[in-house]
Amino acid sequence: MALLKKLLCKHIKLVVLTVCINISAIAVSLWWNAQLGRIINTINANNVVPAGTIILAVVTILISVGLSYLLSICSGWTCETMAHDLRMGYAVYFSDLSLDEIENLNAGEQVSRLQNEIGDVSGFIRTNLFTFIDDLVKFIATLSWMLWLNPKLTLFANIPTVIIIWYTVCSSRVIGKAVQIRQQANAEMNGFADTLITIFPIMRLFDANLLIRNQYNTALEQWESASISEESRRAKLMSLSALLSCIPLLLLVLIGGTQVIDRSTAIGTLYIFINLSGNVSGVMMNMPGRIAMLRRFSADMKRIEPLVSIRGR
Amino acid sequence: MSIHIENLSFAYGDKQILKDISLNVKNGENIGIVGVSGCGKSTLLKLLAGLYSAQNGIIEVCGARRPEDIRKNVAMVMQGIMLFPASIKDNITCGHPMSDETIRQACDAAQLSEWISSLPDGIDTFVGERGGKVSGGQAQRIAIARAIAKNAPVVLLDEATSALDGDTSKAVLSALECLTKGKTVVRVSHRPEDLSGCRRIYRLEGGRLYND
Repeated sequence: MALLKKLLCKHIKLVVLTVCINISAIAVSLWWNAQLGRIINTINANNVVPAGTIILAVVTILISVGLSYLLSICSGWTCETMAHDLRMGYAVYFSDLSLDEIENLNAGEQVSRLQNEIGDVSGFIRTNLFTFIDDLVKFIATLSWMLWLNPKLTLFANIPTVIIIWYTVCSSRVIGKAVQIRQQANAEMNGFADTLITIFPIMRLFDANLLIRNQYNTALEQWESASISEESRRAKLMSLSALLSCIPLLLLVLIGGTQVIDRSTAIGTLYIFINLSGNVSGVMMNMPGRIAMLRRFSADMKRIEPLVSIRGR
Repeated sequence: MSIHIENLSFAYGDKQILKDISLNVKNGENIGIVGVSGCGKSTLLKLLAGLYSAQNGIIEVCGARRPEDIRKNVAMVMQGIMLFPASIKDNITCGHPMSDETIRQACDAAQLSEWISSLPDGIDTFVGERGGKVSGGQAQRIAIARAIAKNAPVVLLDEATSALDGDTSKAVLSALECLTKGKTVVRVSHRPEDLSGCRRIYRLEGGRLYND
């Protein structure tokens, strides 16, 4: 991850700006929810909502939209700049090599590295880096606010998420193993096709078409059965996961609804909880997947670290 | 006449590789062709093996002129690892029905038997992708065993001894001796010393063949 640190340090101003916009966007979003809760409570009490409140709410929405727009531009710009630096760093590494070293390079291996590791890392930076930060900020801010608003409802609605996380971890392990088997079968099939190009003259000369066809069919069948098995496992586990993901919302409606009937919670507050439940339970449920992605990213980073030269400005 | 080439020319697109080549090789004769890298030695050998069709001129190997017929009369050993991602046995038989005795004789002649008997899976051992699970010398000897098992009257050797180290070269050279015994042999190499046992040596230069 030293490479990521270097990239972040090189573009520290852009990164800090993006994080600041992110925090502001979430703060405004929570502020908007607070206003909405108050408006719902006012309507529920059969009172007229003052014009000033509506104007303020409209202004808040506009600010929120503006900040979201700014965030997407800023994060996109920052991520693309870092991904570009990464690719250029890879190119700089080659331009710094001596002629002898360049001659000994395996072109196929380097192209494959560019397509796989560098591609994956820049893809992750582009699509996930600020989503991670956004999730983290959202989770901390929303959970703290919810605990301050109604600690009992917050805990009861979110504790079952731990069980779902456990299920997600277990199911992702099972899916991960199936993916690994499928990838291995896929790699074998691709390797086989690649080898065919090299041994084609020998294949013709010794009339080994039938042998190769049988071998290739075996590899193809293995890949096919591994793919079907992976898809089937994924479908079964994910459909149950989708069903389980409804539990936090159902609990919110059940416990929150009871509290509203008991008049211990205002309907506006319950609305805020329902509206923001994704910020807490959603992030928690996605956590295992995100951690797995982060691990893969970290491993890819480690592999390309010696091959990328990032120079300071 | 085992090999008869008359006014053969060959080009890759606009690039003329072989110009007006004529050559006759008698049955059981052992000839060598020397030339620098990229001069067209391997192309000439591929034409002789029936892997390419002649664009101009005649190629006749054991009386056959069509590439598919020529291929039946030719066995070839190339430089580098040219193994199928299959077992040792499949690499020798190439999927053709072959008696155990023929396979054993090919392994003996290629100096493979001792090594194969030390393997847990014996002759059914998988050689890996591009022969990744065997050494360079072992891969070369499997390729030689394959050529021996084919028992073709003409043997073509394309830099077959160029990339050998001291330890394995002796075994590979003995295997090649068994392969070429009594056969019509055409060897090509960029090193003249590799062609020391040849009766005649030709030099391929500028697309033309010169008798040295």
